[in-house]
Amino acid sequence: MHDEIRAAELFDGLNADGVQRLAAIARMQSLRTGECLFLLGDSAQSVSVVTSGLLDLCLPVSFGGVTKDITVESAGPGKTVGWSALVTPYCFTLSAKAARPSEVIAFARPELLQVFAASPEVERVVLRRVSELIGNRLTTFQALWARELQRRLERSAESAG
Amino acid sequence: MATIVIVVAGSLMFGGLVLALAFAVQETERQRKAQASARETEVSQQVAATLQAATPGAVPSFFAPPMAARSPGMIVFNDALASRLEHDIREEQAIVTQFVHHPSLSTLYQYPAAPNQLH
Repeated sequence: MHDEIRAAELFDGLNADGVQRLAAIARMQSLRTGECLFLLGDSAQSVSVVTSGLLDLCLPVSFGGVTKDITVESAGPGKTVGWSALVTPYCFTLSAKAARPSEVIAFARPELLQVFAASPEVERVVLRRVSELIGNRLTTFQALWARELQRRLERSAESAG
Repeated sequence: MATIVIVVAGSLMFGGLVLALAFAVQETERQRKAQASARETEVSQQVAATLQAATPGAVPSFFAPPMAARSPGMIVFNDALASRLEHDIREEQAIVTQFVHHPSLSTLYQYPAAPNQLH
């Protein structure tokens, strides 16, 4: 458990005391292929770190009366899923499904907040990593949106020309 | 003799407790799977109902007009199309990852070797 916590991007830079505190509240969970860790819209109560396997983060897309989960991001060992549990309104904005047999370690928010209260250093490291994750997600989707706008303009110009 | 009786009784009780625990775990797991399945179905139905109820233009579209509006009945949203969508998303994200780490106009608007043909 300690090794998995040290290898996690969410806890990068944590000292041994912090690792020990997190290991005390960590809960291991196994997922079979296709099993959901959480669904879009669910109340986000735990943040998780993937320790083995692969999780697909999906958005439901509907067309012609058919709805399918489209994978928009994948998380392998060391990656974080469910950081919405640390950001209001504590509601998952994507669904997470195991692409293959996987294991995650989950940290419930109430227990994590107790660790934060006891150790400001852990809080500082974790929240800094969360802000990096959020920043990367925002920049990624901002860029995807800008590129799609560009393509739409080009298509409109082609249609008009 | 009394010792043997106590040992046997104790073993039976322990075995019974373990069996009860195993059944309880099995039942909990079954209920958990049933709830997860029901919740997944509920989310899919909510999404489909929301999109169906939305009037044209009510949901802002950053993308080109829906394919059904231009060629109704010709496109089927099957697994092959979903896989293609996911492939295009991965390709786009690979390009965008460069922008995330090195923001610039050139990294924002670079294109893959073959243009995406979603429409």
